[in-house]
Amino acid sequence: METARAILRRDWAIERTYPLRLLLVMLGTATFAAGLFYVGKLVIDPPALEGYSGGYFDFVIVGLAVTSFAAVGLHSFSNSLMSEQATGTIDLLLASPASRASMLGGLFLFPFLLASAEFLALLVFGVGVIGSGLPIGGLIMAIPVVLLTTATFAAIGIATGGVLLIAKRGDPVSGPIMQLTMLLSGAVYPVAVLPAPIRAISWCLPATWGVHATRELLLGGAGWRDVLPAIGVLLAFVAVMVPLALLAFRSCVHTARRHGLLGSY
Amino acid sequence: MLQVEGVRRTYQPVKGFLRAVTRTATDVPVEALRGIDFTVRRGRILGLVGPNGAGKTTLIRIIAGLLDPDEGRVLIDGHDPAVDQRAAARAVGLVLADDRSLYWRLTGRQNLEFHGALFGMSRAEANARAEEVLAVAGLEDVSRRVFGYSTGMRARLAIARALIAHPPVLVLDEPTRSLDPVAARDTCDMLRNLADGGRAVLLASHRLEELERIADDIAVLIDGRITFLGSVDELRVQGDTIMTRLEQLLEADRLYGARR
Repeated sequence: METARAILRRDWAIERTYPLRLLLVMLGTATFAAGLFYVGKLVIDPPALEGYSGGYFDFVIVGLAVTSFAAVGLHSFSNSLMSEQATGTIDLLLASPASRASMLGGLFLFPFLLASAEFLALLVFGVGVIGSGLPIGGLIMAIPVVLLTTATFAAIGIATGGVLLIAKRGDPVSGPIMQLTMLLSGAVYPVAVLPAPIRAISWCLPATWGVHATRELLLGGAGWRDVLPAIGVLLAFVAVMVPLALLAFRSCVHTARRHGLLGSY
Repeated sequence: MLQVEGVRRTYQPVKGFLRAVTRTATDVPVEALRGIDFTVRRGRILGLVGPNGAGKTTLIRIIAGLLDPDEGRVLIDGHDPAVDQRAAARAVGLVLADDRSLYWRLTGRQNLEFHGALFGMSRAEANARAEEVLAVAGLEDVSRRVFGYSTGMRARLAIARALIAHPPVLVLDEPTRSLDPVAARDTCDMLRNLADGGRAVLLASHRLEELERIADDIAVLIDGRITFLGSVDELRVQGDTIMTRLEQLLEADRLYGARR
């Protein structure tokens, strides 16, 4: 854990040397939410959103907040590894006695916390201030759902990071996966509006379960018992995907060591 | 103690999926190391000298656990990095050739504390140890970010970082490469003191004169083979032919850059 905390401290210290970036991230979140607010005014009481408090604005804000976490899980490892390669610091990181698991956890922590700040800002400003209101109980119950959803995407991100240790640049996986997620997970429209065969595919994605359960908790008045099936499905995804991802990462490190590809960029 | 036993390494052309995703590997087999044997005992400095492309960096990357040998093994205080990378890594302090290996947006102290944490130190331990190694490296005013440091300060900081976890073995890849003569001499004196303090030091360098001054033994690496291994005095007495050949190669490097 000391390694993960140290990487978090390092990333925060480096981030503070770029104060404009943090400011722009927060400003971007606020303007994005404001833009969606006015788009939401064009969508008045659609039947597909029955059962959710608030309007389309609340609906889409929650969906996008959850998928923004998914994006962090997907991109943080590969981005961090590429950054370490480009700055020339990856050799000493990999040559250190720190465990790979704590190293990967550390590389994930700062982007995750930054996304959490954005998530909260988006929800509090979006749903809480200019939307229909935010149930604190629902928000707390949504935490494990969002964490599990993020973990499923982190698994893909870890495996992709391993491939990037070899390929260096060009992530062929994350982009299409995020596009599919936005298309099929119900982030910006309800899954119910999709054609039946595509809807069936949509429920095979962890993000769909995560978005659905979070919305039920924040906007649908659901309690934790109502989202247990979703939590169970997400747990199953995590139990399968994370070990496979760690195996894939280890295999990629081994291959890179074997062929002398570690550290080059 | 650092032991290198029969280490061979050939960079093979990659095939299939790997070839499709990477263009950094070679298209023809390159024999980088052709059976390397030596031992560096505590309290001694082995100077590793050779022209560019001789295999020095490949050897150091194998010792660092960043590359696997095809044959042979490396033992760092009894630990083989190809078998137990974490145990081997705890026993070795590394200064790699790339001076970008420091985090330039962090201060020198933050770099040291971070590296200490990678070795399992608590924040307080790493902080206290940073003070000690900064004193050993003769560095002051490390509260500034590294990008404001002179090349000499960065070299010293890299050595301080290598010392953070009390390693019994130090491996340095051209630590004086970019330094002016005075800074290079000071750095060499520091390395001699570290060896006298009981560390085994492997020092790769192009500067034969500095190795002659501080090393106990010299290994001359040419085309992946050690063509001479012995004391500095032996090299002076017996190694005229090797020295002449080496000086020719080093001179060619200086004039024409890397041979490959």
